[in-house]
Amino acid sequence: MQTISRAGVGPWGLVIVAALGVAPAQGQESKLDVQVWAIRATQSNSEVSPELKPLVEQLKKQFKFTGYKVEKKAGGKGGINETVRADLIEAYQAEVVPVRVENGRVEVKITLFKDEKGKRKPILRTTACAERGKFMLAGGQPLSVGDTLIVAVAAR
Amino acid sequence: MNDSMRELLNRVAAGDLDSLTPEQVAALEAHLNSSPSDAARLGAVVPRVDPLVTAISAPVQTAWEPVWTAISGRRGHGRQWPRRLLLWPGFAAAAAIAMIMTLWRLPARTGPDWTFQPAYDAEVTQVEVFGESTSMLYAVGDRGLPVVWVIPGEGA
Repeated sequence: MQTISRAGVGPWGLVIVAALGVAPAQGQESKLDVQVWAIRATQSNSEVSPELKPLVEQLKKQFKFTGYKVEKKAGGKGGINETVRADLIEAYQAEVVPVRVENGRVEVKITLFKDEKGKRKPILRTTACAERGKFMLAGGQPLSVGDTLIVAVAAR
Repeated sequence: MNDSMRELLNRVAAGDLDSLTPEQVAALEAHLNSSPSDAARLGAVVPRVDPLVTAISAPVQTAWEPVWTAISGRRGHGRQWPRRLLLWPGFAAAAAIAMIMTLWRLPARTGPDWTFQPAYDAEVTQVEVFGESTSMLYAVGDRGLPVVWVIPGEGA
């Protein structure tokens, strides 16, 4: 204790040091929370997940599907240029890499894969930019029984 | 001297001054000014000691010595806490701040807390498909929600 006194670091000095130690460094972005949702679009029913109801009428006008169901929600955390991997449904997988965060918008690179006979094949790769927390959509990949996969990706 | 005056003198000699009226005080004063003998006799009266009052002897010097010794030997007001204990509030504050800063760095919302909000203002800057697939970029609905659509090739 005498040593501490002579060094001039009292108890409140330790408080300041502790606060600086865990505070984010200036300019450093923390990891983003990435979400990847797998949506089954079908013509076999009219089941619509509650989350999609605000959008479903617009989707019905554009596409032939009557039912839209969120079958899986996956995600993880990743920083800039860090890959977030998500297993979807029916052997589909997604990788999302945050590329840039600027002015409340997030740019991500999305790659969709399908596992075929033990090999992971890329299906689609797209780069898009959107407001943080808003979902970007990519679809068209075939599912079983004639349904189609729509992938929704968001990051914040 | 009349009887009433003798009675007043007796009452004063007995110490009963509060019962005299202002007129009686004035008459008694006038009498004493005119009668030196009565004034001398009244001046020689010794006040009666209240029998309930007990005479207390002053402490001797030897009785004071322990008192001064106890005063000079005191270490200060109250109990002296060890210096190391005085530092504990600082450590506790540092730990509390560190915990608050750590919680602050955690994402505010994760997993089930996501709500589906379409990225109407999404900007798709790159699309790549593989194999025999082709791609389309749709603007869905009145607000033109961008949706990347993969059209599988004949062999898919």
